[in-house]
Amino acid sequence: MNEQYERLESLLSRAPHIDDDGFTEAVMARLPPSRPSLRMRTIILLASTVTSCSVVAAVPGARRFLAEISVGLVSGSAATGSSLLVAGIVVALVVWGAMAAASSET
Amino acid sequence: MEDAPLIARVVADDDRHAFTTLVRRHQSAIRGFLLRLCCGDGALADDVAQETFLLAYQRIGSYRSEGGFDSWLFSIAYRSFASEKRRRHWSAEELREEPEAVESSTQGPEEAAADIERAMRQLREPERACLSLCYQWGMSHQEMANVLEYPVGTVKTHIARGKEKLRAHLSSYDQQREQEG
Repeated sequence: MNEQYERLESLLSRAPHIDDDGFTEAVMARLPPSRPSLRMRTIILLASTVTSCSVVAAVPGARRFLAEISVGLVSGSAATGSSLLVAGIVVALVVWGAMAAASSET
Repeated sequence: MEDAPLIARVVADDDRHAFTTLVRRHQSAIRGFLLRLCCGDGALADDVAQETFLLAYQRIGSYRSEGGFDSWLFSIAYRSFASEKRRRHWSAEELREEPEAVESSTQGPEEAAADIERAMRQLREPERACLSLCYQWGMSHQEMANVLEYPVGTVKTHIARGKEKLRAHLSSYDQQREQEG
């Protein structure tokens, strides 16, 4: 009985090597398009942020607009509520755009 | 190069060359395991193996090195097989059909091994999986329990039952050979 089990175990432990025969290429062909590397995504995100801040700083009156928003935020003034809303939407759009650019497939 | 640095390169830089090396390194084991689960149907085993590596690529960021990369791949392969089986509504009988069953007139270890392979197809799927992982890839009971998501006791039971069925088959095979001889 033990002899039979030993023979069985020896037969079961055979693991013949299977040649690749194009298998790896078939898998690689089915992978989704490559995405930017983590480093590249970080660079895109930072570059987008710096560019958008520079654009805002360069627009005439933008600094005063930002100052008004800051004052309104601190004082809780209702008059600047709508400006704050607009600024919030702009910032959200900029961040969303940068995130989309960073995560998009190349 | 070992698996860990290659995996790190795939996660950080989506390094396709590193992933190619990983697939090439592990394809034989995964395809061999699936070939047994698929009862010798090579085309089917390769379909599921491709799906396994695609899922591995998608989830490689969640891989934790505790059990080893090959164990992680076996676990994905087994789940992919189970999911494909559900998707195609395979019955146990359909899977147990013998696509490569060929009568051979030669005797010897090669034929005995082929006969055991055919006998494996008559086992229940968890028995086939446990016996393959245990003997072909030398996994411990605990490793198999992690890969197949069964309790250790269940793994031991599947191995014992599977072995007993195969031993009985081997015994009748030997008797048959003696009568023929």
